[in-house]
Amino acid sequence: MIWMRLVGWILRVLREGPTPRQLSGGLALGMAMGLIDGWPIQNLLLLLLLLILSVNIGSALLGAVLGSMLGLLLDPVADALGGWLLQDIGALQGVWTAMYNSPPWALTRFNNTVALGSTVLALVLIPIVFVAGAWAVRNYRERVLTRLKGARWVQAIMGSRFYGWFLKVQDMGFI
Amino acid sequence: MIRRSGFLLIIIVPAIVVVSLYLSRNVLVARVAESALSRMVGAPVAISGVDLAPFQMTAGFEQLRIVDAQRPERYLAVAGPGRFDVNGLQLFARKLVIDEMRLDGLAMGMPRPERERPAAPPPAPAPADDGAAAPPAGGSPPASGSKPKPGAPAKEAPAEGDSGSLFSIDVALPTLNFDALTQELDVGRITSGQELASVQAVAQAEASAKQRLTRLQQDIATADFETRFNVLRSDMQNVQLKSGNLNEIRRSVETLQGLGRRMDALNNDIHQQAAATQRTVGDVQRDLSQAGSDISGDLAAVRRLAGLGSLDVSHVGELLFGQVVVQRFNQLMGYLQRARTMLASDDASAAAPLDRREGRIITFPVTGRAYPTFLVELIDFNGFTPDAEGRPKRDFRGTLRGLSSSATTYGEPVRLDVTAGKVGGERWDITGTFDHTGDVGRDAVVVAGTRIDLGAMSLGGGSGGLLPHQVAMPQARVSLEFRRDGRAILGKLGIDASPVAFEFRPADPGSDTGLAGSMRDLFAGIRTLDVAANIGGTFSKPEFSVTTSVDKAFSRHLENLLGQRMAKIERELRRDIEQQVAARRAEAQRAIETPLQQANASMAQAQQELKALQDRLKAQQREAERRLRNPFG
Repeated sequence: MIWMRLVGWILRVLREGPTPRQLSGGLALGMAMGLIDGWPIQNLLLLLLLLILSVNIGSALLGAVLGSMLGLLLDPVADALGGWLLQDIGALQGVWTAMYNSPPWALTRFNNTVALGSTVLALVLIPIVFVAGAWAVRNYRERVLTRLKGARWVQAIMGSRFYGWFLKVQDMGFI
Repeated sequence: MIRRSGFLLIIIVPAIVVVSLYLSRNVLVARVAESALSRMVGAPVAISGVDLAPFQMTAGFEQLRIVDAQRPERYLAVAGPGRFDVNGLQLFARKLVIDEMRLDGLAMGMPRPERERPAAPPPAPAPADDGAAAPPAGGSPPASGSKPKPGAPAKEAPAEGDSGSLFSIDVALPTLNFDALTQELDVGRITSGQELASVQAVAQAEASAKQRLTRLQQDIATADFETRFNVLRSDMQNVQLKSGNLNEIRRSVETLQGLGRRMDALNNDIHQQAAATQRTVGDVQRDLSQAGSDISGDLAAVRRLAGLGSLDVSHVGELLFGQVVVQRFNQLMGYLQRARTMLASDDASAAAPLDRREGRIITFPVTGRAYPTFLVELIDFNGFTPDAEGRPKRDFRGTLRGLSSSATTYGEPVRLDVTAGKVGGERWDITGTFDHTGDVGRDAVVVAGTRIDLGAMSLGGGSGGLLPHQVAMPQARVSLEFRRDGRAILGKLGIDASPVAFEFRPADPGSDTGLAGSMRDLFAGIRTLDVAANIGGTFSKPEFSVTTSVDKAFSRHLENLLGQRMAKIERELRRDIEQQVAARRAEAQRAIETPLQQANASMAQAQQELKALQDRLKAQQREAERRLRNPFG
């Protein structure tokens, strides 16, 4: 039942309500939080942004779930990326050493390969997900939804008794 | 694009949280600190009157009470007020670094009020079948057959450091066997059960004498003097001296001359045999009289058998003061161990379960100062040690530097400097260095005390009332040095006390009162005491020695007592052994008397017969000469 409600909610917010930027912004920030494991200070900053910016909280929660699942897949990549940044780039060694000797930077867990790698991946993915998400929602609403509404089989379904019962059941809160 | 409600949310919610935390900060800090300290010391900790100033990063408390885990009726430490400042920057790195802490009114071993003690476990119900009394609360029922004697003292709580810890010294202390001085000896019983070597020597001499006499008798029999006498006698009878023929007479004279030569040979043989007989008889009698005269071997053997001479007085120092010294060293090591276990180690971090990849921690050169997870740079403390009622007994003041959870990270050993004492009375100077910056821990504690009232110290060997069970030392100079390098230990304890008074338990009924009195007199005369104890080696193989100024006097006294007793017992032993030897010798002499007499008689008879034949031969020779001069007369 919860999956049906979730799908219903997704279809509803895609159809109306939040703007595409609010939806994609929440999705991007939530996914970044899910991708970065634990609660280093960068996740707290992302949470702060989530609360301050007028983004959709629901899509952020969805993004966090998707980000966590993505994290399981991308952790090896994040580990390799973090290790490369921390160990192999000589130009950054001075920066890392300075940060290592400054206690507040310990809150970022920057010297953990996975934490640093996933942070970098999240920073890269945030604009991509934001832009791609906004474009996708806009296109869904302007083209896919308009085309679906004009389709005869959709009008047939929406005009049927079954769809009427479905709307009643939805209004009663079962779906 | 800004969410107004969200903006308000992130201001209001944190503000509420911060205000709540600020208002409840003292309670929260007290609870957190109590919980952390309780885990460290393994006993309840209570902190009251906490005052946290978050903007100044300072904190204070009115009283800190730490219960002694081993003796819950006492506090391990009570302190207060205290104040310390925290290095705020290091909190970001989850490190608690206290630059300076001031601790006033620190008291160790204070009694704990009854109301704060945990309730004793309820006594076990008495068995219904036999109606025996229930065991005391908190105790276990006595094992069958090991009921405590009425009036027996309750078992004392284990002393600090005696808990079988890793860092404790277990030394086998010597005991003194007073049996050599006290046991009653039945000399006759001991010697009668023994095969005395001197008696055996008499028996051997007897056997040898019998053997020699048998051989002598065989020699006499082989010589066969009787046959030779008979032949000579017969040949003498055959000599014809009455003939008027001159030639026959001449032949008879020649025959007599031949008989004379044979007689001389027989005479020679008899004399030789007689001399041999005399020699053998003399030897036998001399050997028999000398056999068993050397009884020193028997005396030594009997002395060993009776346990005499086993009074080893070479370890008197360890015997009397070993227990005290080992207790002091173990007490010191108990403190060291407890202090070490209290410190949380950076190495003992708990691994949190992670479902995602953990990642690698990359370290970089430390350009600034490295801090361990927990560090107190300086503790400036003062306080007092209480008496049994909790009243201040002596004041102390000191500093502790570099108390950290990782000496390797901190890079400096922990240093302790304490002075303690009473006004116009005793004074203690204590310095300690606890260096765990390397792979092997090195600890050193040096304690020097002057005008110390050591009170009554329990001594070893007090049982039986022959040795003192304690010594009172109202004024002493004490020096203690203890070093530990890994498992190797080196300790020195010196006590220089004057005056001293030794105390004895009542002597056991039936014991040698003379000996007990003598020991009391000896110790009553000792007014000054020097004790020097050394401990070395390793924990598993400690080498231990104690020398005291009492040792020589005590050893001399015991040796003197032992000497007197030994001389008396030796006289009795000698008399007893000599009697046994004399009886055996008389028996042996009786046994050889007959063969001896027979040998003498045989030779006497042979000599008699020889004499008779010699006389007769001489008469015949004279007759033959006369005939030769006057053949017809």
